[in-house]
Amino acid sequence: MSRFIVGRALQSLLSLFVVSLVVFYAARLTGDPTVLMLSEMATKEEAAQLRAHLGLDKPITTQYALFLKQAAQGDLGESTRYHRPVTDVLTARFPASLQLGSVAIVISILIALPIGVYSAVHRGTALDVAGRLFAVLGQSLPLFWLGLILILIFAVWFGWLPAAGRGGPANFILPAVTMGWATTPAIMRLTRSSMLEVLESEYVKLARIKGLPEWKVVWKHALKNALLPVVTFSVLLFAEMIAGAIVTETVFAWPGVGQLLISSVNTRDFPMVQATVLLLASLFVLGNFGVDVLYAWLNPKIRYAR
Amino acid sequence: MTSIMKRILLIFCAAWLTSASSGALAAPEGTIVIGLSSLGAEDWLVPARPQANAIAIIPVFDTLLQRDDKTGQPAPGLATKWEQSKDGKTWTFDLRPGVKFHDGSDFTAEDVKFSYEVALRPDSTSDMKGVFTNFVQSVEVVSPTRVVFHMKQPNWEILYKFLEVPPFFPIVSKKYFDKVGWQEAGRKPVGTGPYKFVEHKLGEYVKLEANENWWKGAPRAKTIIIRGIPEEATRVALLQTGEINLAPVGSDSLAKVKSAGLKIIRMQNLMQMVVGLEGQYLPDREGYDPKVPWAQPDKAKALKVRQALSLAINRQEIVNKVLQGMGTVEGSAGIQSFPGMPGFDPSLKVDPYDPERAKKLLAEAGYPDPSKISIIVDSTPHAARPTNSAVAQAVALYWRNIGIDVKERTSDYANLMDQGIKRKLAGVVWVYPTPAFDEPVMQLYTVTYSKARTQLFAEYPELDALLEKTVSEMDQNKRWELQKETAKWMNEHEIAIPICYADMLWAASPKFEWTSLPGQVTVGYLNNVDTMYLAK
Repeated sequence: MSRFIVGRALQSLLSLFVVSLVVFYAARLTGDPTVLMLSEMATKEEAAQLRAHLGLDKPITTQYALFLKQAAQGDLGESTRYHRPVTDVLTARFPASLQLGSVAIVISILIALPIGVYSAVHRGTALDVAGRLFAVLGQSLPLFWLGLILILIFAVWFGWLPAAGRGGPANFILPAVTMGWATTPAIMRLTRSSMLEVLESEYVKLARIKGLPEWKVVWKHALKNALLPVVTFSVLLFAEMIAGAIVTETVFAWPGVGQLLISSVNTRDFPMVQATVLLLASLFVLGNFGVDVLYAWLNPKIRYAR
Repeated sequence: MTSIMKRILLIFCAAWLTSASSGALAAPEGTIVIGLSSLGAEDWLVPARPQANAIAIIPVFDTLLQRDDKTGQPAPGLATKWEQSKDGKTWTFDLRPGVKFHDGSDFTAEDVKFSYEVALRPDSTSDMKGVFTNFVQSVEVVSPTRVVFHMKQPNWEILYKFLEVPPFFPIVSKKYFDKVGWQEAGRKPVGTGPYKFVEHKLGEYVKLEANENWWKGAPRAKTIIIRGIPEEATRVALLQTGEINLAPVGSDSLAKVKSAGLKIIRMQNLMQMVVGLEGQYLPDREGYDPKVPWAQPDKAKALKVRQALSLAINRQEIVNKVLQGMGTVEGSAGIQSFPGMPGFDPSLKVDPYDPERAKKLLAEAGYPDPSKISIIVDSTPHAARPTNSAVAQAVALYWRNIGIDVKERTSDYANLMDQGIKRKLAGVVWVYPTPAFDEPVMQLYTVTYSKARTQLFAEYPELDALLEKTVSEMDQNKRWELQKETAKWMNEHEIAIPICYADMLWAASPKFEWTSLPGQVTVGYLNNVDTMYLAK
């Protein structure tokens, strides 16, 4: 098992190294960051001086080597926009994404699980059709529109909730529901198909033959076994949710890393782009790593497979 | 007088004195929340940063000069008096005594000199860096209340850079920087302005509190919170729920704002929409393409093409339908010329809407079939004034209507600027929302001058000569006449196509009050924040 873990860990590190290389070079293909850092009235000499100060006049391979050397010491550089260490900026912004993502995934699971279970148990009925229609709606409604509609109804018309911004528990509700809406159908569908498979298994049939109440058969025996793929999928979905939250963050003025990444790309803040992409990539890599290890622990065949 | 009467008189006098003085000594009260589309770079190390960085902390600082509330012209700020020497090479500023920074330290001439040094830091991206490097020889502290700028050559422009809006040169405290260090000074700024910095949450808000000892008098509101709200529809919703009191909005939101019972504050003629016909470079430029119809070597034909493109545009319809009436066509014929500002020439006429004459001119220019002309219209929104995008799309439509082959695209603003700097935009057209400058040449000399780093409109040796002559003219009246001459030259040669002036709109809660500066001089910045309050 430990050999398996070490192997997976090395693969994860290699993935991150490749990501750092790609994002470093890709960011620099977008052009000269001094164009936006300086006003239109700046002179050519100022631009040249600033480029030299930022080390952008060096060959790109030299720049990357320097970046790696500093990164190895825990220094991911200074944001050319915020003029502070990128880790400081991420430390300020990432918790906001993490908190919102956590609430959103919990809401998503709380809605998706019951619908998925009922759909599976009442397969082919109106309830099942309703559940699947909900899934279609969830995946086709644009988040941007949904977010604004929720603000209009719950904040402007009824005045029940704050319209935007980070704050107390009430501030989480609308953005988390919006964010969770996108992932709920996927979790619901997976729950349904997983439950359908489990409900056909021998031990479930045995539980019914033994005379157990149906609710116990479904919620205690079947769901427990159907949950594994749902949980592992949700972990990956969580990482994706945080990385892709730009629309929700923009609509609700939520100071997360999604907005940070987009604004960093727009302003050509290379160190910030690199650090943010690496952080988000790490989430995915960590998520995958965790899932792999969990599966290997549960199913020894996987860890010995070549 | 009996003792009772004396008592009554005493009470009456006390009551009268209290009511008379309550207006002048009224303490700041209430909280104003402002929702801007962005807090900027949230790096407050002014003046080592561009003025756009200071967007959320303008009220913390003062500048040497303010603007007159009614005219927008230079007025005393931290400097009470200023004088240029006869040879034009020194500017002497007498400073306001008794002013204190928010940390309690005294404001003196040393702080002005120090602020100048901050702007010259190696990592400075300040708008003033180039100005100081190229034009200022040194800054001399004559006394605690007198500072002299020694110029390398006679220079009139620098005075305008010391105004409160745009805040090119906020004054910072040397003692504070020495005490806390550069990094801390940039994170927790201290100035002499009407509001003190209290708190900043990255990506969320800046909180400021009234400086009741401000030299101009205590501001009206006790607390100002400036929030970053990127989405316009969300800003309008927050205004409706009362979570914010003021926010910039586009003309698209006008109907919604009005129906919600919110106030509209209109900053008239804040910008001029100008169609840039890119490619009019000097012929020896690598990016020059002689096949671009409006930049071809045959100058007469090139001019006819430019004139045709101008005649094909229905400017009033753009103001009515795209800007929802929040703009003006009349008087907008001079590029970078604004009513009431130097260089404005009311005799310059706006081209009429005449698509038939446009087609005729194209035929005379050698394009009887307009579909042989291919134009790329770039509708990339400007970073600070995004209304240009919709105007560009409208312009594309008018040109298609006369048969021109128009391709539309939206690119990245930084990329567009980059290509402009490299003079590699031949054949591309975009709409530049140029703001008013105190004198037009201040903008034109940096964006329409062949030796400048940035190129927005066109390069012509004759224009270069006019701009050089204007910039070096120290006599204000002669300089203003030269700017009229420049506007006329640009109008006759149609180097770019002015469409209209456009307003900037702010939506506010019904009880919000604000005495803003005249729209044109504000460039859209928050200003006179000390006058903001919520009426009872």
